[in-house]
Amino acid sequence: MGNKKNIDRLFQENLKDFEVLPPNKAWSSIEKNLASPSTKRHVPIWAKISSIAALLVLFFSIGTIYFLPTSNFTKSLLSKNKTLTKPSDVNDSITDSKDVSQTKNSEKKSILRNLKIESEPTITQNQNAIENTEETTSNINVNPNEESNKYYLTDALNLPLENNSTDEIIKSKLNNSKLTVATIFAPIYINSFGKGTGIDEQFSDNQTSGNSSYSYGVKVAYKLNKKFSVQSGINLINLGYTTDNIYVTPGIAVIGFSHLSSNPILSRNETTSVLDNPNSNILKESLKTGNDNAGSLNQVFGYVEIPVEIKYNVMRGKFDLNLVGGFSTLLLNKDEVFVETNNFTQSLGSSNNLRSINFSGNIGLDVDYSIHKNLFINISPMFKVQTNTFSKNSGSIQPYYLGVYTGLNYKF
Amino acid sequence: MSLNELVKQCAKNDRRAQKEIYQLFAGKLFSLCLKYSKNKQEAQDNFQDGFIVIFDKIGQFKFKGSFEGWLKRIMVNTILLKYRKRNVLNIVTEEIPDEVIVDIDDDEVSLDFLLNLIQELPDRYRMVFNLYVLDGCSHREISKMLQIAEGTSKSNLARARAILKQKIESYQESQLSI
Repeated sequence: MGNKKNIDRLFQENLKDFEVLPPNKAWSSIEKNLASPSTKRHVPIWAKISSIAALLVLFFSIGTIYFLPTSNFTKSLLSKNKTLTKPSDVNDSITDSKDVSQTKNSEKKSILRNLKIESEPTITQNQNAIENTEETTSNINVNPNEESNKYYLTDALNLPLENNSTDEIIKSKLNNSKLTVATIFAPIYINSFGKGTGIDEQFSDNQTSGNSSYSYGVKVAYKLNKKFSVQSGINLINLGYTTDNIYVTPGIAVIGFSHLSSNPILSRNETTSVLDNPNSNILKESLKTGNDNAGSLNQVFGYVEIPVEIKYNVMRGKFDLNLVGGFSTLLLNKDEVFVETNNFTQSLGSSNNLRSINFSGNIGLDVDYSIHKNLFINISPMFKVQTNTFSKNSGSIQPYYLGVYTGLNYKF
Repeated sequence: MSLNELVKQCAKNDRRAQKEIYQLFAGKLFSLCLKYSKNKQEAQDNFQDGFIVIFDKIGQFKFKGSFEGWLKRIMVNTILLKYRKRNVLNIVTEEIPDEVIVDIDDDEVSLDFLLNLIQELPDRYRMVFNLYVLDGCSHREISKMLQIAEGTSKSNLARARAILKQKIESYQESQLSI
């Protein structure tokens, strides 16, 4: 038998200074998980921001193609009876654009023509043709840019985004999350700068007030560095205005609002039939007292909102305080006007002066409160001013809204 | 290029410097992983994970104390984190003498054999044995690193020694019977 030996010493002597080289493939798999050095250093922040912005611009412009030729838009175009361009100019633009025009355009053209003929048969053939060519030329002008934009943007996006994805694998491994997804709910208080309503100029002196509403959706945020994040998402938002002191008498006050696309048909219930009474004294009296037929116009419209915002961290701690600024693209998805009196509510159809796309400038605060490792709540009071809600001047109205956006956020 | 220069270059994500650092310390760190891991496969996984952490945090090295020590600490911590998570061991508090003696000749056992014995220990015993015997940590340090009581560390060490002794002896018996 050998020597008696302390078991600790046995292992110490044998194992303390032994060296074994790892298998050769070890380095390559480590290298794969390291951030690629050259590109990571050379992608500055502005490039990242602009690539994200570019992606969103691309997204909007695709949206524009689908949303612009709605019936509202064409109708409002048609209601202008002026011809804007000389026929000779139009002809030139047609010949120019023929080279570029694609089958898509010709399809659109025919669709547009059909629409117009159906909706407004009184327009002369000449005008029709001019309108059509205006439409198509504008389409042609937009489309080539779209195409080139797309290629340019995707090219620009490919590099940095791919790097980000490899980045993210490592970051998630090291528990340093950059991407946040959140559900958003917000009570909205809407009002407007300036006087007037979106329904008709004749009401521009009436008192108009915004209705409280709500907005909901999802938000995605990407952390650029310690201070800055970019966030975007998609929200549904419903807005509404009430114009007070409207007097309803069938056939007189309501029919022919210049910015309503359909002629209203009032329900003939008891009160309206009373108003039908030819006795004008009674009518005047009721107008004076303003009880039964005094009412309000409710304009209700909804948007799909796509915000793009930059978040700047001011204070870090248990509560993170951030400043938020940016803009939103709003795509109209709901539009209706109601007349409401004490006795009845009647839809008057949709308004034709709401732009199908408009924008808002956003500014606000954002407070984050962490409740779990990957989970935090944020509360964000935001102030948003819309820029071009109405396509025609309806008083000097410029809607704004205040919302307290609350969300449950999950970090990846 | 000096070691400090290399470390600075690594912090800038210079691939060439990273590879040089890797080549300098791969042998030492991989053998460390072999001792702390269950088997060779896990050792390799831990080695890779540890190196990724090292290159991620290399900018935090303050150039105080030995760089090798810093590397080893990160590597050990990476492995501890992994095994601490899946730790379901019954704590046995029994008094076992501090010193465990075995009858053995130096050339009787190979390095591979001893390494295997360590790897076969239950996770916690292996950690404590390595930290205490091979890397000179105190029970107080171990208790902090593994988030266990000092007494648990002591009894784990004693159990580890007992298991090792028993395995060495049964190996010797099997050799004799041949």
